[in-house]
Amino acid sequence: MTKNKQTLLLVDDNKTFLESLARRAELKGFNVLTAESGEEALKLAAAQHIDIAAVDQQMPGMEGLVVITKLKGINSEIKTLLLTGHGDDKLKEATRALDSAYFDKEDISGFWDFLANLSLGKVNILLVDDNPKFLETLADRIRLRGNEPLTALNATEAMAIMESNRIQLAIVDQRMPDMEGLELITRLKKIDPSVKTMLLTGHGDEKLKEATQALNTSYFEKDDMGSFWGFFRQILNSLETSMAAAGMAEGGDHKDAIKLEDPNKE
Amino acid sequence: MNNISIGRTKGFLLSILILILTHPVSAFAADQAMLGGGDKPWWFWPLILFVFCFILGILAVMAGVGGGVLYVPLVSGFFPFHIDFVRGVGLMVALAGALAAGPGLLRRNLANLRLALPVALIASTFSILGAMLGLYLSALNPDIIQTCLGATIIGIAALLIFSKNSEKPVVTKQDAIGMALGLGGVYWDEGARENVEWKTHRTLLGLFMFILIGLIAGMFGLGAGWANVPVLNLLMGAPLKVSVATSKFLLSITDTSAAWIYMNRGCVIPLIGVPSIVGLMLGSLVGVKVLAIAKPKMIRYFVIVVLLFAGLKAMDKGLGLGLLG
Amino acid sequence: MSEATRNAASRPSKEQVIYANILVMGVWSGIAILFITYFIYLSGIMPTYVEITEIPKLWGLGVNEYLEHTHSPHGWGWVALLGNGDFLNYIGFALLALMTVVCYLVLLKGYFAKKDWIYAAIAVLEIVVLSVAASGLLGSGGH
Repeated sequence: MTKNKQTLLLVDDNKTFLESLARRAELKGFNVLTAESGEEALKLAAAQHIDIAAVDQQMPGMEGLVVITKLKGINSEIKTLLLTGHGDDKLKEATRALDSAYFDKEDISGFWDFLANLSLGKVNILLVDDNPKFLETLADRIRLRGNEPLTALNATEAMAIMESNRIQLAIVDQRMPDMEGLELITRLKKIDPSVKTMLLTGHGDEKLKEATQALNTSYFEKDDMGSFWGFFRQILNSLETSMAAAGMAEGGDHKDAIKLEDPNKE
Repeated sequence: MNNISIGRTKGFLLSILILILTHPVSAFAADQAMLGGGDKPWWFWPLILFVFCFILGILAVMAGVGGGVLYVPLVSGFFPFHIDFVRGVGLMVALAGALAAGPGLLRRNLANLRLALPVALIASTFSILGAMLGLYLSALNPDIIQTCLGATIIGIAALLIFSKNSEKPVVTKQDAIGMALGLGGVYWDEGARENVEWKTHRTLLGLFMFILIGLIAGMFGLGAGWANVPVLNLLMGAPLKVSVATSKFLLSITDTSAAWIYMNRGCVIPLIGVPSIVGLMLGSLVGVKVLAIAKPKMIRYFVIVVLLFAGLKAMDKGLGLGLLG
Repeated sequence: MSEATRNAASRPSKEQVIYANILVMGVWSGIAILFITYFIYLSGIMPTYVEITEIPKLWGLGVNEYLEHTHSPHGWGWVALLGNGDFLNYIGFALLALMTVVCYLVLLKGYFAKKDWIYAAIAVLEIVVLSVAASGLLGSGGH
């Protein structure tokens, strides 16, 4: 269970989008703040501690990237995420080239799914880390979700696996003896440009954190992994929602029951 | 396409219903009930009970009638268990369902704690008295409980037919008690895209009604959503959404106290209890999925008719008329 | 209505979320325990206090007669008999029935912190009522 609620700041000039995102984030257990402009966001950030900020790129007034830079000026610990509008290909390319998770606004469901709900069914996952213990723990968690990951203890091994397998997702540690994680990711992408990648950094690796953050990418710390792999949590959440919906239905409120069970249905 | 699938689901569910209620098992069950289970092996009834509760769970969700309120009359009508055990397990069934619904309703701020707490205190206190009274009466003569249960069930069926809940009741002036307790709130109406502010009136009368609701729930081991919702909604003027969610949450408190009385008396037999709880819960999970595809109105009327029949049967049994076999 | 008010309205209180978190764990552990202990019970791995084949002959009787025939305890007597498969199931039942009391303690703490004395008193009374019901002091005699 979450120990402390994380404060999430959402910044977007589109009110409807902002609200729907806020509602979902609240259900996920975040403490949510919203701002409709960069200026408002900075004011909020100055007044209180914020853990994560998700910022829209296209806003009248201040651009998302600028907001992120300024937010980091206020609090260098903040984790940031840039949301881009449709078809902003240049930006998309830029982020992708930097080999990190990327979230399109159009596909905001992917935002959550990527973190908590990777559709692991038939996906081939490659885990690369020089620490065998950590590697095994991570592999175990993925196995819990019914997926058998491939593991590599170093970059050379990882590339060999990549050559001979169709890998959809690679999770790579930054600090390895034979090659840096970022470097490995670049090479893996050369082998298969469609591979999704995720970089893991050790604790307190500030420089790298900065680098990844400046590139507007999501960033995961090893220590945070638990919250992302809440397999049981996932099941509990869906049971919780369905039973709440059943409760509403049994009380005669079918409309709200259906809305709870299937929020996408109008 | 959609129509076809709806029609198909409807037909499917109805055929299941008819299958259960007209012939093989239930008629058989009714015969066997007299013989206390007859010569069937021990696992026969728990297994049938599980399947029965599973279907009951689906129907409860589709019909908009609480599983707990269907469980007691139907199981006591069609199964060979003594009314003491049916009530004890019925309370556990209603309790488990309400507890499982609670977290989702609280997290979304649908269930209102300010409204629930005072009401729950009254209802849970009186459900203890109801439970003790109910157990005392059935020790005296189970027919008294059967007859009263039958009459109550018929009343519930009538209430389900005639009471029309109101989505947003109009409350012009809040009364003093409601104001002192701060009963009210705001919720976001997705359809109208606006905030809806609400408050209660007739609070004292409403609280008083929960004395009765608690007594009845405890006495017969029934879930009390059928009574909670109209009182909160029609009498006190809380919006339907808030009333329904708060009612379900309330049950988790009211039924707790009554369930303890029955459990401490030994009325919860695990052999019967576990398949009932698990069956009904699985059923309601499936029911919600089906509901998202189709919600045939027919099912509600059908369930109410079945309830009415079960009520008549309980009365018939209690009064020893033997009209319904 | 301002944005802030709307957010405040649609957001559950801190205690509400803790209540939900505790409850969701408790309920589903309870159900899981019921499920597991039931199969332990049926499998016959553990001895049973009341012979399973006897129960169908007795469940048509009133509870007092049933207890007499089976020499089963009432109140919390089952705790002493947890070595039996049938009474093992009571762990799940009891867990479910205890959840509300536990969760109310969280509410109580919140109301105290907010100095909301009316609701703190209501929560205290509710905890007392539920505890008395659970204690078995009421109505577990009767035979």
